[in-house]
Amino acid sequence: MKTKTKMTPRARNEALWGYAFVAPTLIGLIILNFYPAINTVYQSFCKTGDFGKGNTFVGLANYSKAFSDPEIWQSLINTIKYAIIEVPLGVIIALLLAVFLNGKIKGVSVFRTIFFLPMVCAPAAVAMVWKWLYNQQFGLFNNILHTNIAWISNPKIAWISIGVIGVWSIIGYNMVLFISGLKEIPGDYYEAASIDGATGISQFFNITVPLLSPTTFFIVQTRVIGALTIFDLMFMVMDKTNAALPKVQSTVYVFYKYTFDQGNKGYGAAIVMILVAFIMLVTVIMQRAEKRFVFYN
Amino acid sequence: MESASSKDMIRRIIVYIILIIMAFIMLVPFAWMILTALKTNQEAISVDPFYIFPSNGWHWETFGEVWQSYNFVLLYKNTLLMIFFRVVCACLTATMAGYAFGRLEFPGKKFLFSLVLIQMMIPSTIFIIPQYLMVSSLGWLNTTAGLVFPGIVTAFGTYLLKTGYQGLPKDLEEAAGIDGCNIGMKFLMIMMPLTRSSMVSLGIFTALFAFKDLMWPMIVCSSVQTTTLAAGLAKAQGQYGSNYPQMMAAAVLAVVPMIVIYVIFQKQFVEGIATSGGKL
Amino acid sequence: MSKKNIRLADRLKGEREKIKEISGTGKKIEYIWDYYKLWIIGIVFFIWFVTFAVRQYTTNLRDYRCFMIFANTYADAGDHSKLWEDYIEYAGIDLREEAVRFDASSYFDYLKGVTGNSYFEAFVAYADSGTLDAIVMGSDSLTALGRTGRLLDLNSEACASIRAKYGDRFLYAVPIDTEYSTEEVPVCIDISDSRLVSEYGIYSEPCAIGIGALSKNVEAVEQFLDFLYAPQ
Repeated sequence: MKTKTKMTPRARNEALWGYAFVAPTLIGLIILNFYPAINTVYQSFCKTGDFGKGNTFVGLANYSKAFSDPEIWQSLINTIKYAIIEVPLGVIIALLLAVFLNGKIKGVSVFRTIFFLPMVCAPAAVAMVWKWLYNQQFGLFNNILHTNIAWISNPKIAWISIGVIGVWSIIGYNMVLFISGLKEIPGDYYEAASIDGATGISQFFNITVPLLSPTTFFIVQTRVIGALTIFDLMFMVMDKTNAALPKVQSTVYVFYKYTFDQGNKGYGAAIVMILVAFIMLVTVIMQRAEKRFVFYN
Repeated sequence: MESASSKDMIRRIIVYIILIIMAFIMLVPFAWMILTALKTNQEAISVDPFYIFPSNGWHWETFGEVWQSYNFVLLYKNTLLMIFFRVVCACLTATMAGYAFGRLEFPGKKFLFSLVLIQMMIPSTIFIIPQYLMVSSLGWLNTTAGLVFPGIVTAFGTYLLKTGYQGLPKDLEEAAGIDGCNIGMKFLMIMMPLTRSSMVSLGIFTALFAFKDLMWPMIVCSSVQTTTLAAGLAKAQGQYGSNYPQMMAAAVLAVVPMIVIYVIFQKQFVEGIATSGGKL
Repeated sequence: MSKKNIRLADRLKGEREKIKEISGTGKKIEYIWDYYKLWIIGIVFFIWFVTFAVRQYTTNLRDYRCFMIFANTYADAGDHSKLWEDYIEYAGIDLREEAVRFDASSYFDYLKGVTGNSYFEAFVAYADSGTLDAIVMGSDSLTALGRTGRLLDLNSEACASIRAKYGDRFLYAVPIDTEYSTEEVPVCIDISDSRLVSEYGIYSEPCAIGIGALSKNVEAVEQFLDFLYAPQ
């Protein structure tokens, strides 16, 4: 932070308004989120008390245990693999759908509603359908393709199968954000371009993509974070006895296993801290990239 | 000229085909929910693909049974109240903070915004127990206030609206600045209406996540009288005596208001822009 | 977006005139509603919510005298059930000052896996925040749950008097955390032969009760045990 020598009255006025506007959000975040988070940081240095015994401070023991635990590393790799499928596919498909639906198409609002449906479906229904689709004996995929693939219990394929469900369930969400981004692009740009004789595809690359880049960056950024903290897909579709689980379980899944299932909160907290540090690193890199690729008015 | 229009025609047809295929893929689980609701439990747990449609008659009465036994009216009321307050609070706080982060300059802005980003990086499961303790010490267990509590502010929404405000043309504010109206008025009368479509999508997502949230209402509202749809259904169902057709019928009934809300607000999306664009 | 001079005062005046021009009160209201509905709804609800929250804050009871979970049963053991009323009468609790909560709509079995089970998550929140005083479920499931350390070690100080009275009914489990102990630790109390089964019929299989590791109301649980074994 550079220290400013002296502020003009105008700048001071602006700063006061700025602080007033961010105050409710920041106070809320501090109480609701940062206080619990700091608690977790503290816990990660503790052996948390079992059977009603209090916490004992153990320094970095949880961290050194986590760093030498291949399960944690594997789970980080699994998480990254999942993100590599979900983020690009989810963003590109959603962007195309949003652009199509922004054009002059009949039944736009029907399509928009349909694409949004997976978001409102009961998670139990989603899991049931996908389990049925992936079923080795009776599943639709194996029946259509005349194959006998164990989609979700073969460690080599399971991560892709899970990624596909991830893409499928996030498209509607990304699409809504893209549509609201498209709505904020002034129509004159397209009018001017079509007078110049630009076709649909060149309009897409010369106008839509650059002008939509703030929205795209926002979606990519939040989806990367979302994908790296993925958790419920894994337990919804995969049973505990599934042989592919070690190759699919995400870091948050492992954290959950230790914190909730086994009651080892200190170790769980250390795992979360490692994950958060990793996500922060990714975010910093992305924030750097923002200046190069994102176009602001 | 003619070849251009026939080319255009082909492009349109391709777009329609893609849209229809995607729509079909998206519809599958929803159709599945409805079809399962109409089956007997025996049929429902079979994974054989030849039982896509109910073979022992269509059991529409399941919907009626579920409506009666789950006390849906009460659950709808609680859920809508919670969703409403969460949406109002989230939009209000996020639009203010988003404006400040996106359009105003003040010392420490970068640092404060990084706090917003960091919040999104932390898996939300770690917040639950401390937040539960806060609600219980405020005496808000089994109340709407307790249900709304964690949704008063939103990091995601703040970020979303910051992006929205940043995307607006620079000269807008300068034009208003000349009139000498203060920042608060500028925000209220000029800037905020322009980000209406971002606000609507924030509202839709807030409503959706509030609606889907199972864990928080389960913990905070242990009594069925005050709980929400998601938790109420889960509570009434039990984990083991699973009756799939009933479960799915309940899920369908629960989802209908969400679809209605979405359809209403998606109209707002489009109209909101049309009106504010015309006004300025 | 074309660049125009935006005069706020003009705009406000324009709006007012527009509204004036519209004939008929109904039309006027319609116009205002169309353009400002989100504002109106938002403000009304915000005020409502604040008053509501404040009222709740000032009136609601805060502390539980006793918070118990009866898991995996379909029998009526919740609030206002016969069991609940009889216990309150036995313990002589004044409900205007203290709350007693029996939760009989939780379903999870540690032996069958609990990942992603919301009932289990709720149990964890209650146990780890110290709200939970006791939990009752099938003996095997409960001893397995006891391995996680979320139930009180019945050898501890706080349980001295329970140990004296009910020590012969203790059930034991080896903790997951081998640093705590590699030996068996008493984690719950077998109550299969109590009135809970014979009189109230809440469970049909062997069942047991465990005390929350952070419970501050161990005496209330002891009272509940006394109540279950009180002579008729």
